[in-house]
Amino acid sequence: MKSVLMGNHSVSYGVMLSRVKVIAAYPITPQTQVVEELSELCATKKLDATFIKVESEHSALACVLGASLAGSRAFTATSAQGLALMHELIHWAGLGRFPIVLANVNRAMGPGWNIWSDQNDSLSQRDCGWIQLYCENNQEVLDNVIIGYKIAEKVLLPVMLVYDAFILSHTYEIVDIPEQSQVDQFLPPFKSEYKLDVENPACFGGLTSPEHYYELRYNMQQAMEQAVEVYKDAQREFKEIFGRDYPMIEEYRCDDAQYLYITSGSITSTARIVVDELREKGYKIGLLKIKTFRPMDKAELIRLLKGREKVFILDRNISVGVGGIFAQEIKAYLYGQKYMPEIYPFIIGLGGRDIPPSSIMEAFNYAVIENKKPEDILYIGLKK
Amino acid sequence: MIEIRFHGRGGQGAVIASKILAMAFFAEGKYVQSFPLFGVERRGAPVAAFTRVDDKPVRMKCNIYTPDCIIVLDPTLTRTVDIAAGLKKGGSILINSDLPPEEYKEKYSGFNIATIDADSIAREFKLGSLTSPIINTVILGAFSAQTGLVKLESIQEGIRKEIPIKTEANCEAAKKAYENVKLLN
Amino acid sequence: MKKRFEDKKPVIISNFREMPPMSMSLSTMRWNFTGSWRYLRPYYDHKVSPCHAGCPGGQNVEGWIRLMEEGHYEEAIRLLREENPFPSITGRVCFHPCELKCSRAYFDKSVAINNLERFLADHTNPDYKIKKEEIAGSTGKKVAIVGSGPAGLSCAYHLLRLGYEVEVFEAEDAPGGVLRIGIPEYRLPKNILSREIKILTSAGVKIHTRKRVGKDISYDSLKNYFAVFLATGVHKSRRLGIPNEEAEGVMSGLEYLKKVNLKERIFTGKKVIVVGGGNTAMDSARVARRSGADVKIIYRRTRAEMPAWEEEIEEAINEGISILELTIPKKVLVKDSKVVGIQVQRAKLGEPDSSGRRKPEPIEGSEYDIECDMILSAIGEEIDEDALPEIKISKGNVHVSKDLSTSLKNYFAGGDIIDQPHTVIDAIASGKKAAIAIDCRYRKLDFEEVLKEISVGEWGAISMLVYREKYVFKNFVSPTVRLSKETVDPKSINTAYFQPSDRSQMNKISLSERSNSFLEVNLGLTQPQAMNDLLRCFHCGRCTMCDNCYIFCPDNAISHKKNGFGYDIDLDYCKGCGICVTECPRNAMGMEKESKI
Repeated sequence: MKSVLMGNHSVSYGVMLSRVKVIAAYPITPQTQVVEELSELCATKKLDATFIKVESEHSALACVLGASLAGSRAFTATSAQGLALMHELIHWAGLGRFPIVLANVNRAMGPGWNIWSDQNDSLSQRDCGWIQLYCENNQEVLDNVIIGYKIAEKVLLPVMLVYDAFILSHTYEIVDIPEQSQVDQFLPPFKSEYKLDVENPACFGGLTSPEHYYELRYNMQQAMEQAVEVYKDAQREFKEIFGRDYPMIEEYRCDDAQYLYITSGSITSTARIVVDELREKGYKIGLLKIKTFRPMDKAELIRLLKGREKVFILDRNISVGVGGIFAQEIKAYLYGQKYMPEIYPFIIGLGGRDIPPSSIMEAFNYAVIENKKPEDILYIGLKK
Repeated sequence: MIEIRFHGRGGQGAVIASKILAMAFFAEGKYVQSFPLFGVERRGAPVAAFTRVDDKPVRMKCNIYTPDCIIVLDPTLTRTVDIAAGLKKGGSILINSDLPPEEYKEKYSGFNIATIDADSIAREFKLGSLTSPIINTVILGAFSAQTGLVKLESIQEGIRKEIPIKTEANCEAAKKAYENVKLLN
Repeated sequence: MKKRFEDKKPVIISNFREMPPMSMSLSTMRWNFTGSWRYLRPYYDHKVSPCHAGCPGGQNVEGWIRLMEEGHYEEAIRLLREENPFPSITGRVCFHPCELKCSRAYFDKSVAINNLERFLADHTNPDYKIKKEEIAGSTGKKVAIVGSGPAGLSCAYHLLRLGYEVEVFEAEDAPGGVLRIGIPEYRLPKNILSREIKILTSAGVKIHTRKRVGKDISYDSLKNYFAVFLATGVHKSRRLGIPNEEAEGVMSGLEYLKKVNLKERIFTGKKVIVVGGGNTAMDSARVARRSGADVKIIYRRTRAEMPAWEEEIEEAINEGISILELTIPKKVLVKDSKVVGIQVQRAKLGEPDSSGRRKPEPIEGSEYDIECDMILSAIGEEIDEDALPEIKISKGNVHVSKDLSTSLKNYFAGGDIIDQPHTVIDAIASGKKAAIAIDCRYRKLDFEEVLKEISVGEWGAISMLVYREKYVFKNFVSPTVRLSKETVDPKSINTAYFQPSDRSQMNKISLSERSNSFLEVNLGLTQPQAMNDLLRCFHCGRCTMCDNCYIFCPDNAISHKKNGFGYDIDLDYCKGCGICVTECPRNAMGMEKESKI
């Protein structure tokens, strides 16, 4: 059923359709409506789940981990400082192999205190063993909650669903809310092999000696690598049922492209307009949308970049000391590969600074029209 | 693509108005997007909200800089806010005001100006309180009549979906505004 | 880096070089005139407290309570006496309608206003003097007052202060009217009454005793006075209308009280029946009880319908008086022309009558006899037309217009002879109103216009203080805040800021001390008891500088006035959020729509 939904409510509906059993969350701008709508859905019995009120984000994730370990499909949502407060348990969720979904609304970290969109909150959690799915629009937000559980429960890694503050969270768009029966067909009930069981007691997360810790981490890496194929399988199945496609790296008008934008999140949507405009002017340009930051489909990335002339990576984040995080990682993946393009790493739109088409166009102007050389970090829109 | 910008004050319901308008267009089979001026909403502070409408999916994910239509929920905003900023030539301005549109002709020359005394209509239909009438649904009726971009029935459909209390009073008020909008001669 | 907080301009950072190393403020937010967001504007508003409006005498109760709280007792009693000349008297005998209106009554129990009034009167200088400067410039006019009860003396007091020469004519040996001859000593000691009257006489009020106008002197002889105020009171008891009413041993309660009060020798029976449920009935019963009689009160309805004040009924019962409810007197039983008993009939309550009270309906065959040797009838009083000049009477009362003027030229009337509740405070109020009406004639003011200006609340009270300031001394200073005519609704009090607390209970003399004695029953509040109740006052509608608005304002837009009492609102920054109004504990603020101009 098509409806006009805000991004935050899209998450709530995704959670409802996934038949989540336990929800614990603490409200924070710009995530609040996710929690509001879920509590409403629970209160009106549209969703048969336990809604646990907690006193902090740390507790929220702790509740969710407990519920998950007890065998329930569990959910939480947060943003920025809230995610940072969860950090200790973000490790717990990843290293403890909890198949949960956490919706994180991308909001800039403070100080300077800021509630607007920027990816540093989620990207600062990148080393904790989580799958991260970045979304372009509200439909994708809803669908990815469902897909998230599918892959999390297969590879036993937590999934972080990531979408932009306000630009998606508070924006109303047309969203097709899937039928419950279709979702049930795609996402069977959660059956946990590793769970708390009085018949078969076990200790989870206990002391692990140097004798064994290493292997646990190795296995996690293996799981993350397997997640690439698991994601692709899940995606294929999703497309068959729902007709919507979310490749790990989506190509847009890339076929003969000399130049490529690489984007993530809602910037992609506006960037498509820029690509169209430049195509109309005769430039051979395309766009790659990085859907999954973890796991990265490395082989696909290399394949898609091979032979291109120039690539402009738009990072709405900055790892201070290095630069854009997407650029940093993509460069690392390409090391040692042949026929690789010049990489132009741009920092754009930090702290929610608006990104109109003209800002995205600046990257192209710099690299192509002005034909300037790439640098370690390039800045769009900096007040000089 | 049509871009519409609402100017109001925090608490006046500009965001809901933008959503209802989006739903009205959606009911007519259009692709829509609506969003508030991203910020911290505070009662009484000047706020803005936006609606985009197109025949194809709306990909633009940034603020609206050159709107086609402006809707002003509080006439005092015309003194402090440049409500016509970026408005396309020949674009429309709708102001909630008991003054005739001619009064604004000089200030906003070159635009299609209309006014509607939405406060009085809201009071008549007992929307909001006497001191703070709620006019966000009322003014949409006037918008329909002024621009012809969307049917009154679609606006009313949007109201029915979005406004759970005094729904029919809101619909009737929108109709009254539709009939009473004052256009620039 | 630029010096911070310099001016009311935002700091604009035009490049990264100007940015400080961390997010820190470079200016205050003074440049952000958030006042432009406002569409509702808060204001401070002195409203009328319900006690003030609820006192028929228009006493500014909240005002004198506040002065007492601050320890300014002498100022407090002066403020009180602006409206009411007899705080020692009303502090004892007033049935305190103010307490019914008290917002605190809707929270726990009303403030003990009446007891505080007595406390104030008892704890201030007994030699109170009307100051020369409070007497307005002489009008050169003389006013005659017929009757020295509370209405007459109130009128005399206020007229004196308005610059009139006042002569009061009293039929009895001593002034005071019902205060002297009606109210028993144990409720109002005579020395207290004399002290209050002395305040008037020493300021120049002339009281002629043993001068019954119409008998000792003629009404005609009053024709040279600028005005005459009739306040003779009602002294004629209604008859029971049952057989043998004239028998020896049957008398009116009023007459009985008068005789006792004037210390005349009077026989009190051993078994006394009092007929009636009003205050005269209670007073008669309690007086008879003090003479050692066994007293029964018979009343047609039930205790709930009794017009007497609850406290009086309670004390009567405490003192051993029994009340026979739903009992109708049928016949006085006589032997040797002396009362030996009364035949009564039982009744049940039927439909409400014109007074709104349920009508007693006799039960057939339920008659029985009660033995007694004295019957006091106290079923109401009526005016004695013979004692009045030729004057228009309507429905048993002297007919008066809004300004209390009568059908006779220059004659005004007040107190119990006009259509109003027969209470001391209503009598005092009518005396005050008549004084204003008389003064309005002199100053050629439109009384009805004046009334609008000086009215207090919506229940008919008026303020002499405002009258004097506006029309006599013409020194009325508009307060710096709004002075609204609106009476505070108890529901508008933000009770979250108040703790429930017990109302002070006044100490009384023991029951054993009461028999055969006319010692004052109520002992008055002690200092800690008085302080307790002073602090219970909500101060409805009046700013007490509690600082809630100042503390809660999210924009720091509220500041203390530099000189004096109150706050300033900086409208450049006030967003009109209304938190100050919501958090005002006592509804001393309001919000209004911002003008669009």
